[in-house]
Amino acid sequence: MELNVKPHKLDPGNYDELTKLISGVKPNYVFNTVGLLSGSWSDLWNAHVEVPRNIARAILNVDKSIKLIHISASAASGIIGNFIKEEPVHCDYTYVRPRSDYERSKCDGERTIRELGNEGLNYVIVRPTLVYGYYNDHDEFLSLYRFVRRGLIPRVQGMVNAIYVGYLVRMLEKLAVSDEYRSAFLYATECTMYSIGDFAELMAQYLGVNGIRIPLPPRLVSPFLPSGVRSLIKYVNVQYGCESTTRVLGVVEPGIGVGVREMVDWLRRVYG
Amino acid sequence: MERALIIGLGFIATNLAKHLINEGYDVHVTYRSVRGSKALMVKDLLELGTECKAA
Repeated sequence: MELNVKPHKLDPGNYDELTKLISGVKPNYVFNTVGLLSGSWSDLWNAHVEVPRNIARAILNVDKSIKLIHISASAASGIIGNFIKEEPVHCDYTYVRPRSDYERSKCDGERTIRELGNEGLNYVIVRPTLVYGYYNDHDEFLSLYRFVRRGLIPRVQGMVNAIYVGYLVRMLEKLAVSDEYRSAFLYATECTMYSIGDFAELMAQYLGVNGIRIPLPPRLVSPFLPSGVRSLIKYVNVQYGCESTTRVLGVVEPGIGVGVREMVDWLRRVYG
Repeated sequence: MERALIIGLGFIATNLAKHLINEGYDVHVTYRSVRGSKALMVKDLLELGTECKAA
């Protein structure tokens, strides 16, 4: 039976394999979702710079009409104030301050794609804030889930920008098909900022847990977090501009209710 | 039918693939391994792909 979804085993670090696949599939759009939250500089560089470079070069080699949608991260620019929006000149050090290995590799990867835009690459770079929803078992939410399952509901103080994955994927498709977005970069985020404690509180509600609520400032939580997540604690109370997201999607309702329910369903399915 | 190639299999990729399948795209997804939760992601995608093709 022929399906309209087909998995391919592939190392995206291998340029020849990638070129062969793109030649065979002949896609209209390529979406790069490869990313790491932590690892050595070499791991981060490979995932965030070498892989997108390979994809972009393969596209240029096969067919320049293929559009690349590269998923980066809001942290690519580093912290540049308490309100961050798209910088006037993309990843220009006059405006951005990526400091950690994660941030620098993300920004370098974006810059690589932009440079290949000069050779005719049709691309859009998307920088999502914290993404939540079904299939998310990343460390930050898995740790939270495990705490809540044990009856410990951390009330971590502080606000974050986030985006429900259902909104993000709609946005990615719209950016792919729209001729309006070409050689562009933009943040993907809901306008509503969420209290970090809301995620734990909603998890407890959906799990039916009435445990102990522990008020915690982020700096006290930090040592107990996985290293990749720990490096993002500094973004608590940093707000990202949602104008670009609204321009693409229109006004969206806060997604946290449905998104956390989906995460609980997924985490329960995988981890019990 | 428009074709989409998604590089990498994970949380966002699986949601994106499902969305694109539902929108009628021919979707191709790359993976390095299908251990742990990724096996379930692939299972869901293949099931959805079968349903959509049959519909």
